[in-house]
Amino acid sequence: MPAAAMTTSHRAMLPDADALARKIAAITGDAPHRALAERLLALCGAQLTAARPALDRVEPGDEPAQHAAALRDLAKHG
Amino acid sequence: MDELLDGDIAGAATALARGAVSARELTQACLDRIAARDGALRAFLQVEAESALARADTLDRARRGGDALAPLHGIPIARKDLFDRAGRIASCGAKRKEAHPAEATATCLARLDAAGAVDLGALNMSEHAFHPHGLNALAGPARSPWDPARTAGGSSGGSAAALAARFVFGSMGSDSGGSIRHPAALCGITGLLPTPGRISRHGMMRSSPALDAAGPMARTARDCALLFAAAAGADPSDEATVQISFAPKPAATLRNRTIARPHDAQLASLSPDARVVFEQAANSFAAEGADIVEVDLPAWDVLNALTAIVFASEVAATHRRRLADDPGAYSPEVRERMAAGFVYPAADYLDALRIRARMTRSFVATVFARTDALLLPCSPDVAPRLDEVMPGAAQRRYDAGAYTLATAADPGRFTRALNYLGLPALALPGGFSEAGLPLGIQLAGRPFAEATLFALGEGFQQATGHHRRLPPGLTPAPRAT
Repeated sequence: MPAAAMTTSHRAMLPDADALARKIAAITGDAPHRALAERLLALCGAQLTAARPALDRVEPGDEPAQHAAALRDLAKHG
Repeated sequence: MDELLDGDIAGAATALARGAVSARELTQACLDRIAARDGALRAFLQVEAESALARADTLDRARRGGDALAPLHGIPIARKDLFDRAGRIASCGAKRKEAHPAEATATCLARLDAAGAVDLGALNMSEHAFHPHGLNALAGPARSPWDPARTAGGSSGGSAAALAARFVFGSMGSDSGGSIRHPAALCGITGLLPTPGRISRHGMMRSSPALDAAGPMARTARDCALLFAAAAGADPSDEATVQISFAPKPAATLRNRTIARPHDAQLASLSPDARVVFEQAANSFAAEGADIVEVDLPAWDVLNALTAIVFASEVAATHRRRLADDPGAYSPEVRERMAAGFVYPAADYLDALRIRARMTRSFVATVFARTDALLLPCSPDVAPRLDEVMPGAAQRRYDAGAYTLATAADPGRFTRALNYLGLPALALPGGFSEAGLPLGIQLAGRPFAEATLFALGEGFQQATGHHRRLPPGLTPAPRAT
């Protein structure tokens, strides 16, 4: 995705392609692959931008475990 | 026997209970079909004939001894090859250098055993359940019985192919973003994504703990309900499970039911065939008396993106050690796609989970306030040809980043967000393309509303009969007169 479409805070949290290629290589044991890193940055940047309206709404009291409780509650009360 | 094998669990169970057929005869007939036809389909990775026949003999002795018959007594089924079966090695669709026989059987399989089912073996699946079109370096992809040049879908493609080919009456599959529903749609069978916590995942390969579900696949909604009733329930070995009652309902009349559907703009990514089938399905519900109301699927693209972030991050975490220690267990394409999970910041992954409850409450309030179910497409098109979607294909129509990109050809566009929301969804045969290939629909519901979905699905199947159509090679020859 075009870098211009990312928010400033979002862009700041993603590594550059060379750093990402080195990170993936360190995890997987593969040789650094800059072209793959560029593709992944584009793919994941697009998803992060699409998710941003929700991610920016997270409040301090929100917890992952609340989801299971929400399902049970919604089953009872619709 | 062919008529019995082409039918459903209810018909087979009745014949078994009457003694018209024995469990051994039924099991042997299924094994004979597999031996005769599976060479072209590759639905099975491992046929376990000896243990299946021994099990059938045990069940026959119990019946002759006057034992009460369990709901699935003598019914041949199989399993996606990512569930533990004691003494067997689950391949998870991959060439792993270290794989050991399981010490215990997965809870959901043990419950199907207790209900009397006969397990015929391990079914083909995508490598590590991580390819929408069934890439499998062990045996090649499972092929569609409707056209063996096409994929049976992924990741539970072997299950869908085996059911469409009438090799078995049911299968236990898994779904983290569409892996039951996508192949079900492409092969013209029925499959359920259950509400999280309904079916234990103990003994099942994990990909994405937040999104993984085990679920039944069968030929009809009624058969899926039978398998679901046997497999569901709390399990001390899986803390995520809950004990919420499930009481199967008879086929629902569709009259006076209210069913939501997306408006036109949200269906723009469907192929012309898929769009026609979806509209015909909506019309079938309406013709049976259901009230169809258009809704704007709230934040659907946002939900798809949140799901992709959670899925990629968790899959990468699940596999990171093996990616380094056992590189041969991953095809290059799967390896590259898994690397996406190393890109997302941990804070965004965690926030995607933290906002999940509020996204679900908002979605349910918007879509289900006055409706019984949500009608959705399943896959965006018919099963693609294998030469269009496998690595090295000369003409790649589909993006290799399908799970990480919301493209028009994204096979999970209408399935994956439901895993994130935690809503049950029943995939059903929705109709056929002009070329005679199956296409699916989904009915999604409120949390734990599986009984409603099964009843509505059975009502739809009684009205349309799509589930009864057989793949061309299986169509019975006309009787000589």
